Amino acid sequence: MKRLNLLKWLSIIFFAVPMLFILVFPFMVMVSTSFKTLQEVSQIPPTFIPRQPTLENYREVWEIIPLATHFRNSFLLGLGEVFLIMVLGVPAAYSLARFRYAGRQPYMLFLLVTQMFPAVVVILGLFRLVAAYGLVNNLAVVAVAAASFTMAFCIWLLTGYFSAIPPEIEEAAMMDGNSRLGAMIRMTLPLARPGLIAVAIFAFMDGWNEFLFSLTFISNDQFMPLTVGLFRFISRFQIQWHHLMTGSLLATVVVVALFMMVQSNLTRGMVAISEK
Amino acid sequence: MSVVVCKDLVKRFGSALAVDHVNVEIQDGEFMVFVGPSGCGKTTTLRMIGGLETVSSGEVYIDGELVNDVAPRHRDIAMVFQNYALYPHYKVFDNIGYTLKLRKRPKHEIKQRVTDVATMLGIENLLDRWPRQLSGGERQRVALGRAIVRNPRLYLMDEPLSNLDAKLRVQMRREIIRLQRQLGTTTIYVTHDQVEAMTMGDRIMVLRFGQIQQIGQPETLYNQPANMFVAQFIGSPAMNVFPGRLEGTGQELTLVADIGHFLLPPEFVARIGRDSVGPQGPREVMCGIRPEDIRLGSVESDSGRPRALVDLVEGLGSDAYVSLSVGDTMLLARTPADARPTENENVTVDLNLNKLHLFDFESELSLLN
Repeated sequence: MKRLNLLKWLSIIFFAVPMLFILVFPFMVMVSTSFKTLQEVSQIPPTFIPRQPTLENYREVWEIIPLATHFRNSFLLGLGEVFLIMVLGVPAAYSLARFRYAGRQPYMLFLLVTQMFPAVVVILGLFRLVAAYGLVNNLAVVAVAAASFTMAFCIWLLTGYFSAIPPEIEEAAMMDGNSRLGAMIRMTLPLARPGLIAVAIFAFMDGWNEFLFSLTFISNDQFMPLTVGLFRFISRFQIQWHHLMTGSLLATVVVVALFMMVQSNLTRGMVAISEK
Repeated sequence: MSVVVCKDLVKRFGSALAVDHVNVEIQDGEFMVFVGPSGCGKTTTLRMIGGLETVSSGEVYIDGELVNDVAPRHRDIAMVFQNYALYPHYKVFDNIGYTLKLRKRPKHEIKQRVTDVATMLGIENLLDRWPRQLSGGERQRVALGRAIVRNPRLYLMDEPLSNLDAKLRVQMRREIIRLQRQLGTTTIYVTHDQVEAMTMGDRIMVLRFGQIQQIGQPETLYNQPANMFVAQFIGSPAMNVFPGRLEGTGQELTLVADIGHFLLPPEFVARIGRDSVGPQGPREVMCGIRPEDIRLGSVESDSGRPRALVDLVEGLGSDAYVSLSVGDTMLLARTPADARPTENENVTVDLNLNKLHLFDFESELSLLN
């Protein structure tokens, strides 16, 4: 027992603490930098605790770029992806979980295969398509493009979750008077709520963090999400670290707040999905 | 009340034939049992009647109406599932009342009917609980209540007692029989347990490999099985079966088997089909005798009868099952407990030849009329 305790403490000291430090350190630097002036940021040696802390960055960042607009656009992107996943992905996952038809297995393999291709491989072709149809500077197009890459993973997750719900519950509902669709809506979806919430959060965060398609398809300030808007603090000759870190921190806080609101559901859903 | 007719019902899953030309008619108010080993097609047949499986070919009629393409919700059927299939996110009251809510019945009517059914089943104190808070027997009653509450024209029950312990199973069996008699609704009950089939059914349909083996009343299946499979499946313990040979012609027939030679009584011979023995000579048969039709005697008193060695004696209170070796043949006999022999004792074996069963050696069909 003594030996086990010693091992436990050694692993905490030599593994857990350093890992925690490595993971948290960038966030701590972001917080620290957001309270520094640009001069202090560029200083050598660098300081961790600001010598002259300032809140000016938090005021300036809203004026230099249309941060509120970028927040709005990021929210719209996130919600758009959630909407697409729920409307298209949920029925797809349900059909894969419940029905047996020709092509089902190859299709599930196909879903896995698409995960092997990064979006950058198709970005040029997609841009030409989007430009040809005059759809640049359109958030909906970005949402569709981003969702198309997230969809496969979400369908996989949800198929596993739906498969674990006993089909007899739906059958009992159908005998009681529901149609197949009614049974799915009144029985399967409520029972799958933790999994659905987990997938919705995953889709939202994917939309919130979306960068490649937004950078490629959107050039107008009014339609840029946060990821691209903040990217503009990185210019050819200089990086406005203090503003960049401040904007990034604000973007992170929103997501963390959202995460904490739904944490219990997310944990339940991910545990349930992993068990299934 | 309803009549269910299945005509040439076939169900294929890919290349696998699950139900092979099932023809059955179930009468109004009847308690019909589908029984057979796992994978015999009984549940698939039930689900086709309920509309939960599509029909590959054939027809299902309920009250004269062809229902092949009718959705389950429009067939006016209630089903009780093996694992209860209660709605986990609804309390017991809402589980039972769900079907009435879907039919937009007034709230006071739903409350009244749910309460009445719950009282009938003795679960009125459970209406405010969640399914996860119930025991197996309680969940089964709630599932029954859900089926009963809307007074359908047909009940389908798919092995509803399989998940219960032995004692509860006996209790619930009686409850279901009582309920069905009280309500008088046509019921189709699926089970793999032949004891349930024998005690519950007005008639039994025995299935094997998707095909009907025999349909009839429990006593008929027990006393006049159509083939060796039915003979061994129905009855517990199973019928003893051993090979033999019929010798002789006309009314004088002798059964020659490893356990001995038996001159068959004329009244028994009259029941054997005409072509069982003929000019071609002795006929190979399979013989069947139920454990209760074997009488054991002492070697001192019954010198003319076949002798057997007692291998094992299993006491069951009022009866005992005695495993015997007669030559190379193993038999199981049932004796009263106070007449049970001891292990390794030599006994004589007396077969009640009027209760003998004969089956064709190749086709395994019964040779008796």
